[in-house]
Amino acid sequence: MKKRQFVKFYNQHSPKIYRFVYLKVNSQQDSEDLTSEAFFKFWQNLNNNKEKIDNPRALLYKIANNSVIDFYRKKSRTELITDPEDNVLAQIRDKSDLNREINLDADVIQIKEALSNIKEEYKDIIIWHYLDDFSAKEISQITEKPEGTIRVKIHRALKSLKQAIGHKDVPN
Amino acid sequence: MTDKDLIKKLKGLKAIKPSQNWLSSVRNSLLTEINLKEEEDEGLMLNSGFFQWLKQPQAVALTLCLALILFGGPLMTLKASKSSLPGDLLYSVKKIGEGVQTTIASDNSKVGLQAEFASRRLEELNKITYDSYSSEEKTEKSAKLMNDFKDNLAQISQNVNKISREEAVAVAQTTKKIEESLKRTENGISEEIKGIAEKAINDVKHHILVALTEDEENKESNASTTDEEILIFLEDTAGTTTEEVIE
Repeated sequence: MKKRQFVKFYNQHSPKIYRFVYLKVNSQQDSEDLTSEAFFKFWQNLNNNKEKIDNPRALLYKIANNSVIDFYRKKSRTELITDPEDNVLAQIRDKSDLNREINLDADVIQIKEALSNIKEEYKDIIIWHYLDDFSAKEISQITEKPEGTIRVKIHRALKSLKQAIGHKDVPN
Repeated sequence: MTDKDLIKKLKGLKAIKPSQNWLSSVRNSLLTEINLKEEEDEGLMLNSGFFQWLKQPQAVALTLCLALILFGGPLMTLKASKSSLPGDLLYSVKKIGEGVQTTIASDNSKVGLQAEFASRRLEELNKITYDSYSSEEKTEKSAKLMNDFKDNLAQISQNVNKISREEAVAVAQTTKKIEESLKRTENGISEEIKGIAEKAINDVKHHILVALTEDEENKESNASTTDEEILIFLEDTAGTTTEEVIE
């Protein structure tokens, strides 16, 4: 991929990668850091890989997903090393991200909350398939699972999300 | 709710978007890094026969002019980002720059870099404290900085036992400066932030002390005068002494 193509690719996919990461980490600052990191790693990967990459988009999402996994791994390690009881910083940051959410539509907030209550794997599949329009084949490339399995998981993920919303709708 | 309704609602999540300013600043910083990498690669290629002509003074001058025109803008961006603070457009550029530095650094110097970055976070905290931000903005920015500060110090704690004694002593000296810098800043920061920073510093001091003490044990060598000064500084961590660490 040439530099010009990379810029075009960045313009096309950066908002989607940001959204994918944001829905997973729920923090504007962390999403910005992880998105830029994913693009940088993607470029390094393109340079180091001599073979032609069949689906750059799938590769980018795979890198972004791994960055998020590393982020949580690092976060849990840091919390263990420093102070497991100290969540003051997290609370301050949660509050500021909550303030930003006020600008979102009520439906969007509801679906976002429901997404955060389902399995991480289902969440990924829903974002990829219904938001970013990935086919089952492309998702199978990212997850390295058979296409048939992905089709079943798409169905189950939607069902799980529907249940999560249903639970929220039921008055206490 | 039908599947169709649910999918329609899901599409509403497309409203989550990053800011245009952030997108363009990251694009610029990525281009800067790519250009720098290409420059490095070209430097390596210069040694091969085909590129010998580039060693001519006129050709070098021409290349430099072109490089200045093509890469000057992004490089200026990287330079300008050095004084940026959390929430600024160029702050991401600064963080990417640090990420790249860490990626290409040797294992031995990675820990030193983390100490340098932690020191930067404290300088930024100092700037924020005395800048004209609202108290809410100050709290948010300080929390973000303190989180990064903790991350940097945690990385040091994790890896300090893998580096050379000289590097560990250098890291301890930087930690000492960080502690002094915190003491100068502490009037303007909240007790919570101060407590978190002090705890993170004490943790890292303990880990450096353990690494230095183990190293000394293995080598059975005597510490130099500078090392002794550093050991005294490190021992001043919640009453921990070298003897206690050895035990």
